[in-house]
Amino acid sequence: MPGSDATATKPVVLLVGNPNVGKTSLFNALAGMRAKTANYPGITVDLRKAMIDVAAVDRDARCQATSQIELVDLPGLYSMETASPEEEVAARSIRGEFQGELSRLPDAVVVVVDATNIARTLVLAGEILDRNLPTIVAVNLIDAAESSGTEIRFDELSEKLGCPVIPVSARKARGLGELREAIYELTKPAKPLLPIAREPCVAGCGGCPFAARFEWADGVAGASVRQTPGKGVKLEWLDRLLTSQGIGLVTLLGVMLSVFFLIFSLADLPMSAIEDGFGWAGRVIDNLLPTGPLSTVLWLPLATGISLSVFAVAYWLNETKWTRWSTSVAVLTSLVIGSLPLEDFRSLAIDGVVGGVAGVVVFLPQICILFFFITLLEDSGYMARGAFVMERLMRRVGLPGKAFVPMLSAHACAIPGIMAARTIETWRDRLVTILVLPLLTCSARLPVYVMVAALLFGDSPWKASLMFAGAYLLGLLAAFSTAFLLKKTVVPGEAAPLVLELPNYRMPSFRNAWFTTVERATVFLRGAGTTILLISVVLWALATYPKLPDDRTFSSDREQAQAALEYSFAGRCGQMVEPIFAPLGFDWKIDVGIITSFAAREVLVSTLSIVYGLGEDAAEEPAGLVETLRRQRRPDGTLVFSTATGLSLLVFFVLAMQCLPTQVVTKRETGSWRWAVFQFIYMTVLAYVAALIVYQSLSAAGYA
Amino acid sequence: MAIVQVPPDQIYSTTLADIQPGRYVCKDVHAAGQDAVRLKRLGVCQGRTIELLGRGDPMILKIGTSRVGLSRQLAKLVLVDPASVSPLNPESAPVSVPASAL
Repeated sequence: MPGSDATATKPVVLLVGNPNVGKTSLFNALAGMRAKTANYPGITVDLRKAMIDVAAVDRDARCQATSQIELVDLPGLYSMETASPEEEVAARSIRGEFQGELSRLPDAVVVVVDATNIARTLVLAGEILDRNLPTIVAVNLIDAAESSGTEIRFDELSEKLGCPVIPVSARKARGLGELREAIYELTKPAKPLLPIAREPCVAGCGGCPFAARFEWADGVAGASVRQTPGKGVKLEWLDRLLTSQGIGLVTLLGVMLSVFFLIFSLADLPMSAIEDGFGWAGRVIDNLLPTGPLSTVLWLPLATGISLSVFAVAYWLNETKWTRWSTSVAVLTSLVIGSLPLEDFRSLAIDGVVGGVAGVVVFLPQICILFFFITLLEDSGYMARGAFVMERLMRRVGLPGKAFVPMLSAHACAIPGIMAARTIETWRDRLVTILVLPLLTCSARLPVYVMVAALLFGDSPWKASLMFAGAYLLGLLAAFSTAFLLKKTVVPGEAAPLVLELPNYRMPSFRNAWFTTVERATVFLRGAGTTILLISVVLWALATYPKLPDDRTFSSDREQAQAALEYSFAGRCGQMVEPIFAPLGFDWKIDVGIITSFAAREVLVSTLSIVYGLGEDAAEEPAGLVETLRRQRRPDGTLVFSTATGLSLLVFFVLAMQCLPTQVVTKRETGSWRWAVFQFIYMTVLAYVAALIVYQSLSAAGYA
Repeated sequence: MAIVQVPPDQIYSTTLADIQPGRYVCKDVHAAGQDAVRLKRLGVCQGRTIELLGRGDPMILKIGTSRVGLSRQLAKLVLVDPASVSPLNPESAPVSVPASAL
């Protein structure tokens, strides 16, 4: 329940403002690390909240009065007349018609306006003042306004608006104390309950209400803002270049490539550190677990307790409530786990849980670096130019220009990409973007690409890099063609025509980018982490049970692991589906890999390593695996990993939807499993057909 | 979805889609539904002065102190008159708005 008892009594203060006025920076500056993300059932909007202390600024610190308020960062909003689901949530919260503590009128509203664009951003303030709510206008970006020669008379502005006006700079942390004091004054417990009755900002207008509001805002701004002409840096020439058809596009490509270069070069070190860390954790657990025979009386409660605490952490992260249903699932599963033989428990803890968590966390550095640079680019005002330039190209396939930021993110991981699609206003455009995003090459596909490259082009680096470029291009091409086909069939209509604010260029704040990165990484871990943990435990069970009969003996551990996998459900499924995948050139061992990588693609490499009898550790040393794979022959004596099979496997992994966490996020963002299932089916069919064409034509040409 | 409604008495005005860069006054917006809201809340709205900075699809407008990218498809629905000869809206000449520095 978002409005829990602890917060219900605190005054609720809403932070509202147009997009691009630095509202979230101001929230981060006020809240710091105390911010929490709350999600509400039934909608895709995550609202950020923080309990913050507000105080009267008093010269005598001993009698300084303080109180706590709950600050809520609402989605960006241009007007109370809304054009997207996120704006609708913001407008309903202001009207006190949303959920939880937002189902009553707010105790105060802080409207953030842009000091370099006062007139336009005051329009929303006018609408909110007309609702007679206790209002503060925070004029943000005063540092940028000062340096460009804009002089604002704040007392004049305050008089015209009939509410407190506080100049702030979130980036330079200026005016935050004054803002806290103003919030305190409006929400303090002993507040006299005087009804607020302001003169309506727009009186007696029969025509377009927007026109009247703009006129009012122009009047207010004209009376209180003075512009020194010719001062400040003119960036119009830069804007002309960045939005031009040729140079704009080249610049955008350059920026995207640099971001990717930075992601891959900077993430290397933390990623191997994380891998080492989880390897170490696995060994520690291995040593901690007893080896000898143990009394059941002692072991059962202990193992059940460990399992229950893992459940507790997962539920806490995922914000699952302890209902009768979820509690009985946790208790029953823990009892089953508690009664497992010790060796199975060891394998579950090390391979299932630690390995599963490591599989998610290892991609976190790349995702964080991506978020960091995207936030910097967004705050600088460049991303809007990127969307503007891409609009020309993407419209043709029915995607809006704004889909370009989600597509950029999806090249690291589809999950943050799908969540970034929330910036797209119309439902149709958002849906098409979400449906095609998982076709773009994400980091989890890279281990598979690396393996195929080593297998086929180990001796020729330039052929290998050509193959990599081809795989990326294939993903992009598939995404664009699918969007085009969707436009003609399932999701008809054109992308909503562009109306996009191109915000002023400004210096981004590293502090704000850092807070945003932490927030988005937390959302990612909470959303994807628990799903992946669950899936990896299920897959561990599929690859472990039924166990080999005790009477079989093996000369080595590797052979035993190979036979055990063959004997398990996963191995049997692989043999069962062999006829289906045979036309793609896959034998049953590759099929086992496809089954185990169903939830997470990168698992393919370690599965192939086990199923070909190398043991799991060999997956970390590609040379050994590649040598073994090259030697594999079919029953008829032909090579398994021919050029045709290798490329067919590559194409299959470029296009197939081998990622259950993405599907969970698709379900969440589209509101129904229907679209997640549709996405799974179309991508799997596409992958199968494309791999079939590749294998059959290459074998016909003699590459088999 | 936008419904294109062009009343016959408005055809003497030009639309944003077929003018040269310069300053204009918006006479009317013939968009409906969401498109109308999306246009008007960014200032493409009756009586406002609009400066066309760069033609193309999408084009760049300057409205007051903000810049807006606008697709040609919507620009066709926005009727404008040149800013200097605007007998219908003499008071809407943009004098109170300070020019942006950025």
